[in-house]
Amino acid sequence: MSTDAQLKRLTTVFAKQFRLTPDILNASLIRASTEHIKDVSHMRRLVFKDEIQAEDEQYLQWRYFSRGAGDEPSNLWVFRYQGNIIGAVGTDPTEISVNGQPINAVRCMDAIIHPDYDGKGLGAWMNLKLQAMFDIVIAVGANDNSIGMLHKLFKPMPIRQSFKYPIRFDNYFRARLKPPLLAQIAAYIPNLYLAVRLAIFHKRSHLPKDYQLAVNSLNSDIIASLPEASTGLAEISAQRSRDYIRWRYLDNPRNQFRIVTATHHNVVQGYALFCVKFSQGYGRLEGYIMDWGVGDEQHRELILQHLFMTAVVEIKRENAEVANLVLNDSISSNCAKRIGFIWRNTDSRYFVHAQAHIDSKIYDAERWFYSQGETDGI
Amino acid sequence: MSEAKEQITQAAALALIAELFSEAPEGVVPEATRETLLGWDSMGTLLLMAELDERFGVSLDDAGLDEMESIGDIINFMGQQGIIVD
Repeated sequence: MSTDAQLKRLTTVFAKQFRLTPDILNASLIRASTEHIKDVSHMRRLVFKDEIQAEDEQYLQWRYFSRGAGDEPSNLWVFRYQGNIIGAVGTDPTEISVNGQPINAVRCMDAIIHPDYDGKGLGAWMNLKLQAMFDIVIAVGANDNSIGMLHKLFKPMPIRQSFKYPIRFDNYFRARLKPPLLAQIAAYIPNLYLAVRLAIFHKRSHLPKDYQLAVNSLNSDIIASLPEASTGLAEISAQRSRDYIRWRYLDNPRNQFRIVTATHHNVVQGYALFCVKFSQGYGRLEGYIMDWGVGDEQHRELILQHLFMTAVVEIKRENAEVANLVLNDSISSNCAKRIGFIWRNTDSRYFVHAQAHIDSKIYDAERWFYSQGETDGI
Repeated sequence: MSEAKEQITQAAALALIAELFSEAPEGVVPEATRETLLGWDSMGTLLLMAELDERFGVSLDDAGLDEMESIGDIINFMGQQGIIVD
């Protein structure tokens, strides 16, 4: 059954549950205006409690009201019933490059249903509505509650590979050994080993001729110097335009990002964006390499290795204990492994649905480029 | 008890629910709940509502859904609607 036919069928039935007509049900899902932000944030706190940060309304404003909606008020959708918002989902507009052809797509994230209406079909119906509206819908940020539903409605891909680069073991031993002095002594040797390993990698590998690396805080001038193109590291990827990078990383109210650039005769040929933040779960500072791109096809693996390596060195300077890298494509994976990133796990919490007229190769997970920047967590 | 468009046995009802929830049939027993059956999610609920409406002519409203916490509750509802015959 096609998406449209499935949606029509389920809309008729779902409307009855709310004692609405299908037309009124459809009209109940609208793009939010700023007056809805407070109610949406309140609903998020009801469900996710302490996981929602204090500046959540500021986050929603940035994420859904500051770009890419055209004449529309926002990219945040709300479902209103009897004067109340009982469901919401965000759509982050992007272009997916398939065979060099850009196709409009949305990443849907921050999906939330009021607890009184959870499990009654609203989440699934909203996802079906988005699938009917947009050529490509990418569902990111699946949690234990939604993952089963997303498996039914979407195809799970790309496969998300998580890598870690251990930088120091202080926190690891502090959690396991007492007194603190003993933990400090126990951490000394592995910390030294890691530092030497990093230094050896850095020393042995040389950049291509006439290339230079630089590390800076992200700013408008650097963004203006970046290539206006997708990564080129895989056949299918979301476009990383300058506007997108400015919005995603410079305007981001939740984190401060820095950038490593690789320039050749003053032209930026590659970059990697990273940040350091405190992990509540692990009780330590962790670094995240969020996004990267390399334009020089001849030297791309060597450049990418240096970009990753430099990001790790900078993350170490900010006293983080580990650097995290999440990816899918084989080029990035090989580069990460060569410089010492350790593979930790593979999962699939990234889902894709494309309308019937889109090339079916979009469902081939191995063709995708993917990074942590695609998700809503940071 | 109202007359449904079609009637099935309890075993067939359990098999139908398993199919709608994309669950293995052996896991869909009256004691199973929303917490123990991962497939009893938002989409599973929508598909159940659609099947009840289209195949059996029975509507499931908000109040009815609130009372369904186990597969047994679904079976009881289907029995009350005249869908299940022994």
